[in-house]
Amino acid sequence: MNENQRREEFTHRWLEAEPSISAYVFASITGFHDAEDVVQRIAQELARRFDEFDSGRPFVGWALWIAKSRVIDYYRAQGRSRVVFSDELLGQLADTIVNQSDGRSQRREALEACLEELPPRSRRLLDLQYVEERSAAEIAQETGSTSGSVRVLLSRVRTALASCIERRLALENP
Amino acid sequence: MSIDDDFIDRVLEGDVSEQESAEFQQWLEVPANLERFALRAELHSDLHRSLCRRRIQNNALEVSVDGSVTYSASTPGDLLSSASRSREMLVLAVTGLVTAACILVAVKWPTGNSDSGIAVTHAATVVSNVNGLVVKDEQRWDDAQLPTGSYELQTGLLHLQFGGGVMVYVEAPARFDAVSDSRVVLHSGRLSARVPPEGIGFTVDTPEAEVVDFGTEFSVDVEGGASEVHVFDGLVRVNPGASSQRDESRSVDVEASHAVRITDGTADPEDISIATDRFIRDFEEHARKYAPAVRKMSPLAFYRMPIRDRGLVSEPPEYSGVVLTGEGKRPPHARGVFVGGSLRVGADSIGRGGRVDDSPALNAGRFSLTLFVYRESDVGGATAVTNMHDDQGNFDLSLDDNGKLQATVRSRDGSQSTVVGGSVLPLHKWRHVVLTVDGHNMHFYEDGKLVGSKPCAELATRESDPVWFGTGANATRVWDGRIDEVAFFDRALDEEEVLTLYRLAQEEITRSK
Repeated sequence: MNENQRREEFTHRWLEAEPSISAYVFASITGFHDAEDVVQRIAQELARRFDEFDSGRPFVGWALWIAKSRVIDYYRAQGRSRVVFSDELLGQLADTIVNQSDGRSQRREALEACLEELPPRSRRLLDLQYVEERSAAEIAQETGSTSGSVRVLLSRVRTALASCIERRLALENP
Repeated sequence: MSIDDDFIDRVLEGDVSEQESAEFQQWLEVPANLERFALRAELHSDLHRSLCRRRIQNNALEVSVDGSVTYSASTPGDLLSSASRSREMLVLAVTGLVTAACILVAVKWPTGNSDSGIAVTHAATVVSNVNGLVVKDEQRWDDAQLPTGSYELQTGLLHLQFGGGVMVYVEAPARFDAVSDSRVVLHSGRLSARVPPEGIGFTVDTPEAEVVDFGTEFSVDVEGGASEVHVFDGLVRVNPGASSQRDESRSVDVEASHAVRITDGTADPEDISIATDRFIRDFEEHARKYAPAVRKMSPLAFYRMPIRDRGLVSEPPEYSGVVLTGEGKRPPHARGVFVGGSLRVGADSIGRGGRVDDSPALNAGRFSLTLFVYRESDVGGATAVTNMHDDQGNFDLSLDDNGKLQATVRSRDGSQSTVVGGSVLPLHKWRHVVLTVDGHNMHFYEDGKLVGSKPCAELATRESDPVWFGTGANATRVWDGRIDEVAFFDRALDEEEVLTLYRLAQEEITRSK
């Protein structure tokens, strides 16, 4: 395989695996900014080490194996100040992510449609949390609420979205 | 401790005590709990990505015509003022501002020449080259990096990556200058660009206009003194006129599902219909709805017609074949029924089609063939897919002399049965076609509807006859158009399965426009 074909192959495989890797990292590292940062590092490492990948095996499994090491590196660098999963649990989480791969892209698509249906106030709350990375306390200050209420509201919005995704998928795959 | 969605969200946000975290990990030991947690984490990850992308696109949309920027986002204090600046600077500022909070993943391919000590300005990287002949300074250019300069793509297709993860697909014949990693001049030919948030501001210059992107997907076609801009997603700004004579007051913003033509000497861009079938916008075949449904029906072989330089790819790979590249102005690929590619035969080419020498054995007596066909001229008498030649083979799908599809099968007793489709195959429109043989009858479906059937004994047994796509065995009866998503089965699909496939295809087509 020449350089062009390798690059093409890698790009193709990474685009397919990226949602799984992101889900894995978001599950094991708290804070979106840090999680995105780790996903970025994993992508660079996968590209650098693509020669080591055995094309007879699933790419996502190999990528998750490397992702696990980078998550552990992150834990070490952070100390024990945040939620830290055991080595065994990180392995089980990776297996679960692989088992849930089927339908991941459909769930992403359904989410896009479900976001369109959200009331503006709920969308605004999500934007404050996910785009502007405000804490519940900061959002509470801005909206004249309490951080507890903000947390509950955000959680309800996410649960509503999860139900919407499920409903859409059930309609599409009766 | 009660663990509900609210608690899981707190864990994902790092808002739990050490003791709660330890108890939570015990809870995760139950596989169903771990699954629930993983799905919730996926939702967080997808929300972050989707909302960041939307915000960046919205901010880009708010860059006003006169070059100033206004924000409706209520983020006090820390946003830019609306002072006027050059558009280029603003685009950079907008991108930088938003990506500060939203790091979106971009992959950099490691390069091995960093120790050369010579600073080379690379405008783009070749992600894939499908039978492409690239010429620079009258020499063939095979390097994976494209330095700034002028290029001609004489044959094939190129997939290039510019700065900020901008993906550009160029179709031969085309002449272009790679000016920088965010600007390309298209002198002639077709290109499509997909611009992620990090690439906002990517610009395509043509002899007739400047096309500035604001985080979107668009195509440009330059031919015969006119430039066309087709926008499939997001928004682009078109500044008409040659590069030295542009007047920004004449700029137009072109939104998704719209297209404009700028003709040399014409004052204003003219609205035209968007050409969803013309441009190759992705070399990959995405499995959204139709392909997963076909796979669930266990085909013997499935040809999705991805754009590759390694032949006609099959699932499973042992039934792969070759694309007969022949000779022609444009590549033997075109935009498919969905967003990926299809096999393009005929048109302005000769000697094209596809051939599979090691096709799957068809010896169950029952059979189904599913595919999409697209006709580009009113020439009749053409083969879509067949394994019949010299009294061999057992199925054939063709266009008759009147422009109707017809399916022919050979039975075990040597007799042949033919069913003709319900109507003339229209031009420039994809049609879903299914042929089934159940051992008693053959059925022929067009766009999900049964249009003909006939008594027919079990299909003749064939171990491995060559199969041709878009051409007959002796290179005649060439299909003038496209063929996509071909699948063979060793059973007869029933009416409900055929309708399901058609319905899912329609949903995917609607989404992939």
